[in-house]
Amino acid sequence: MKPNDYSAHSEILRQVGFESRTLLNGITGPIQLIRSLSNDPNLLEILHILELSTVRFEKFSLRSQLLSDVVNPSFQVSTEKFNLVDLLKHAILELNDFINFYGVKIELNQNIAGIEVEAGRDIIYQSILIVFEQFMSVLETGSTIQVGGEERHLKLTITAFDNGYVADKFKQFFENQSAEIDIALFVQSFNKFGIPFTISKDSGHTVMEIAIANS
Amino acid sequence: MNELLVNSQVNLFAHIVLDGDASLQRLAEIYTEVLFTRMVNARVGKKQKEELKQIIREKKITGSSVDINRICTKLNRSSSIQQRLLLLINLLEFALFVQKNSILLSKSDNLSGIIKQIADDLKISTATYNLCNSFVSGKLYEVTHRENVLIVKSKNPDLEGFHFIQREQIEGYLVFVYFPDISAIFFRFQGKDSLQLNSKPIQPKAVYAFQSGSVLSLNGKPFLFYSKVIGQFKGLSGHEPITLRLKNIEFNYPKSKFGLHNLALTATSGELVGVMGGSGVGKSTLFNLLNGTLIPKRGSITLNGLPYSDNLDYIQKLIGFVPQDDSLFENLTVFENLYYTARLALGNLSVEQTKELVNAKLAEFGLYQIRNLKVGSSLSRNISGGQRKRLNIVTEIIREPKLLLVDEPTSGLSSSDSLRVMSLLKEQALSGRLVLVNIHQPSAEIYRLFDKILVLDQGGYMVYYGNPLEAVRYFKSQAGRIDADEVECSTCRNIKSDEIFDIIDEKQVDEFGQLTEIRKVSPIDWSSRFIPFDEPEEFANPLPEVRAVKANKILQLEVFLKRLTLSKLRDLEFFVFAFIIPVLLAAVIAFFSKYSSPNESGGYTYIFYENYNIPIFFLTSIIASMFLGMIVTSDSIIKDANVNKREAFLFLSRKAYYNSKVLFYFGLTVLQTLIYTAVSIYILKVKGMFIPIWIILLLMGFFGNIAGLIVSTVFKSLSAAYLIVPFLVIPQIILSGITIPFDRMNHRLSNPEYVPFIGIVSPSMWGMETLLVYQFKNNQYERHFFEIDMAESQSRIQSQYLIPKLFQLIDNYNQSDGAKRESNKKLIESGLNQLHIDIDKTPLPNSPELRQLQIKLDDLQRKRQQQYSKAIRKKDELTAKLQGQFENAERFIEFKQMHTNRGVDDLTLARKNITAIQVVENKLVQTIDPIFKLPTSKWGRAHFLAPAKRIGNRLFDTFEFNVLVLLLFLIATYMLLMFDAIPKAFRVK
Repeated sequence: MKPNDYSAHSEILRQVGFESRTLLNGITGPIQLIRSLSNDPNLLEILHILELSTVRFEKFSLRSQLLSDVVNPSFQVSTEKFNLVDLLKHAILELNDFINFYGVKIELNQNIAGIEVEAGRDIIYQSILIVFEQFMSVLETGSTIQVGGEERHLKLTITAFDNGYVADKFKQFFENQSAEIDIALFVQSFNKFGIPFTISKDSGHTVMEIAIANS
Repeated sequence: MNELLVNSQVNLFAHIVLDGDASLQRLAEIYTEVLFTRMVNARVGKKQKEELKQIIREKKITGSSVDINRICTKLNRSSSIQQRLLLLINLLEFALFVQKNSILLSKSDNLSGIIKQIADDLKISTATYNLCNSFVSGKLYEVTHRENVLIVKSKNPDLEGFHFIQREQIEGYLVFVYFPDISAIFFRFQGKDSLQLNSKPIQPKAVYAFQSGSVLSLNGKPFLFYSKVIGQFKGLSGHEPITLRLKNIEFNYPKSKFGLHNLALTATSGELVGVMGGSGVGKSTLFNLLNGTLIPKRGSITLNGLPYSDNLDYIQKLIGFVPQDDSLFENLTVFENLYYTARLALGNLSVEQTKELVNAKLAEFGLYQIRNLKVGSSLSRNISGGQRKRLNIVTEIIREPKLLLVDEPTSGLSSSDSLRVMSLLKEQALSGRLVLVNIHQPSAEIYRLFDKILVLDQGGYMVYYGNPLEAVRYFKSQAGRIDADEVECSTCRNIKSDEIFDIIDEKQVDEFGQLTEIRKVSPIDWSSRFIPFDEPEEFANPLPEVRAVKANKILQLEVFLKRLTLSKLRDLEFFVFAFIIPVLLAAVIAFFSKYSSPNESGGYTYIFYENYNIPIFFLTSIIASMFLGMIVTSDSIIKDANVNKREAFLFLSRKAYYNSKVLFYFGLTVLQTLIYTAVSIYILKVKGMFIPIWIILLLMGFFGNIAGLIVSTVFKSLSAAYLIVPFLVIPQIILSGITIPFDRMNHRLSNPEYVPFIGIVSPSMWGMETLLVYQFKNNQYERHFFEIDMAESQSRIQSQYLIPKLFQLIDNYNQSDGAKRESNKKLIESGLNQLHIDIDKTPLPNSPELRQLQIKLDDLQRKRQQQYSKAIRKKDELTAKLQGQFENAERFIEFKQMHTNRGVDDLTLARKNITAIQVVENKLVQTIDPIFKLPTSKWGRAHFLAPAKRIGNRLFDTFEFNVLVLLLFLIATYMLLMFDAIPKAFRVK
């Protein structure tokens, strides 16, 4: 499937999302019920692992449906102005469990100021989560994801020593060798809202650069 | 959670899923069980799940829908906004549960539309709904009012606008959301740590209410308290916070088992701290240490790291103290009580600004509606006990103290009033104050309000200090209870705070299993078992600025005076006492002393001259004025004791306070004595003496006022003050000079020539002498004759009594020897001195010089006899001349009888004395006609009823001189009052 061919499969994606969610609902409810009835630390640990999996599943379901919307030419995604850096910080907070689970660190340059964009905020939020999740899934324990930027040039860079795996995944996607829904959602949504980004591989690390042109 | 809330919740779930498919309904059942298991227990969870199934089944069979309007109307009528908000949060959580993702939920018009409609029906504002929605769905980036969100995490996520608290011990993070318009806090936890809320495990992602007094723990160790969280939302850190620290405090009352031992605590702004324990455990002592009234024997008290001992004056300005007893003015309205305190405490505000502030504070404390009601006594029930207590508190709050000490605020209040008062105190803590409350045994609801509790045991031993819910767990675990972790009832959330005291006071059993009086754990053991949480030592921080600028001394005087005047004039009993009693007293005294002599026609005629009782009237009037003056003021300061105790921290001018009393009571005395004088003089027909009588009674009343005020500063109880008044007044009767004449007083106290010292210090003597002398000397009749009468009296006494007595003494002198001769010599010298005959040395007996002296005396006697005859003649001539001015002799006699008085004459002429010259202590003393005898002392000393007083060579009229002396008396007592000399002297002793 080529990057631009998703429009034809919008309905399929929606159905996948819906069905997986229905399946998911049958798992998460009982997990919560068992959790509220038990104080056994071993059981709670198992439930936590189960929950992490269900969260992934949940995300798959959600992102399938979001992608369905993004690629559907007749679907109007409502947009709003927001601060991309602020959204990125929220994403890092939400990823706290994964950060702990994978044992990676996200280092944010505190001097980055706001970058204002106009887009569908929920979709961009998921897209940012995707970038970090992509890095985290391939990084060694103890690795660091660097987030930096330049206010003057409205630029944001996400860098990690991942032997270029993430860059390769994006490359495969662009070369139609992969159809991963997460990467598709990132690419499609950034393209849809006109937020330029580049992803490159350089001496063992991947550099993602999001640069907004000065208006 | 009550039945209505649970039923409503289940019905609303049913409404949401009624049109959904079977899987949605199954999800709703699971969620219902999960929710109620989490909120209450597994049994309730199962029951409500069945309930939901039943509702859905019934609705499907009947084809009806759930009546949302009816449910919401019922909820709006009987549940609080906080309860409705919790219900809404559960609905949003449920929606997420069935939708599985917030983003999808927001895209689902159907589900979110239903919930929004329910929120509208429950009168929950859109802003609150949006905040709830963003919080429950985890989309914090949507929140517009970020100041209402707090993140607790090991590392700052640096989210712009959000509050943050660092807690390194947790791996996950907590999100708290604050609803300012309803003062509610909810939180959710994201992570895998095993956290407990009030000792009960919490589930990740689930939303919990974070109520006052709540504590979050990790593996049983508390790491976050409600006060810390609310402090962030209330922005307390920006309010010049204070930290109070007591370290190893030891205090003992002399020769008493009461005191405080090894007390240590740290409390900061924003906290409500309850000091608990039975009677006599040292709760009040602790407050007295904290307000600086007592000083610890050992240990240190610091505020912001600065020792109390070095900064007490300043620190006391930051303290507000609400005593257990009312400190209100019963006769002032609610508004006036607060207004006058505000005027004193906030002198920098204008009258209008003060009124605005007072009205705002009254509204804040729920007292605005009753602002014009008189406070009344605690028994009058003009306003309720709760309202009284709130007014007491707001009178302290008005000057914005940083540390508020409240002694037994719930004592004597109903449970609802108690809760309201405590909630207000909680609000005060949340607004940035540190509030310490002495409380005996609070109800569960009140107990939950505290951020920390200090438990004191018998003898003043500290047995616990920390989180109130943790306290229950601590004592239960110490007592070996198997349900130690059950700090609150899982169903009703009730906390058995009483259990703490039951455990502390648990008794041993004897071998027969009977309870003994011996405690299982002694106070010392409890104290040694408790290991206080070791808070880090803090560096000295500047103390907060004292913003309240007290009124200047003149404004203080004005406010004190207005407050007192208003308070007294509204007091009916006082009004009657102050204005009716003088009339009655004057009427009764005058009526009783109005002697009428029988006339020839068988009736009685009142003739002023014949009324023997006029001197008694003078005396009773003097005593009555002094008594009235003293009795109205003797309770004045004692009755203000509670107000003064509270206002002590305003550091107001004591002199301004006293002066307001002096001015008010002096004004009252002016009116009282005017009324008294007018009524009595009218009844007794005393001519020409209105002004002198009024002036003397006024001075006596003033003296009584100040003496009463001094009594009021010395004694603490009203009964003691009332009892001491007669003890001060009765000596004034005895020392007035007429009940016990000074020459017939115990010889140890008397003086042969002058008024004895004991008489000099008695104001009644000066008053009595003034009136008697004035009446005799200045009445319309005698004033024409006084000079002649004086000449006649002096020449008569010298020629007929003194000189013959001297001749007799000279004969004795010539014939005696030894001691007797010496005694005669002294008496001769005394006589010569009175005759102003100067001799260098008394001649020897039978000497030519002595004979010369006899000749000289003989000449003088002749001369005096001539003067006497001349005076008699002159008097006859003057009498004849005056008679000529009247129609006949009878009219002239009537005139004389209208102005002169036999009773006064008897005293001023000492008619009771038979001998004119008496030998007393080697002196010749004239015992008759004291009114005609001029004193010889050049220092103002004189015999009683002297017509004038001598200073140097100048004679002063007795009236002027005595009034001046009484004024000096008044100034002296006024100074004693102003400088608190008497109470200080008592304290030194």
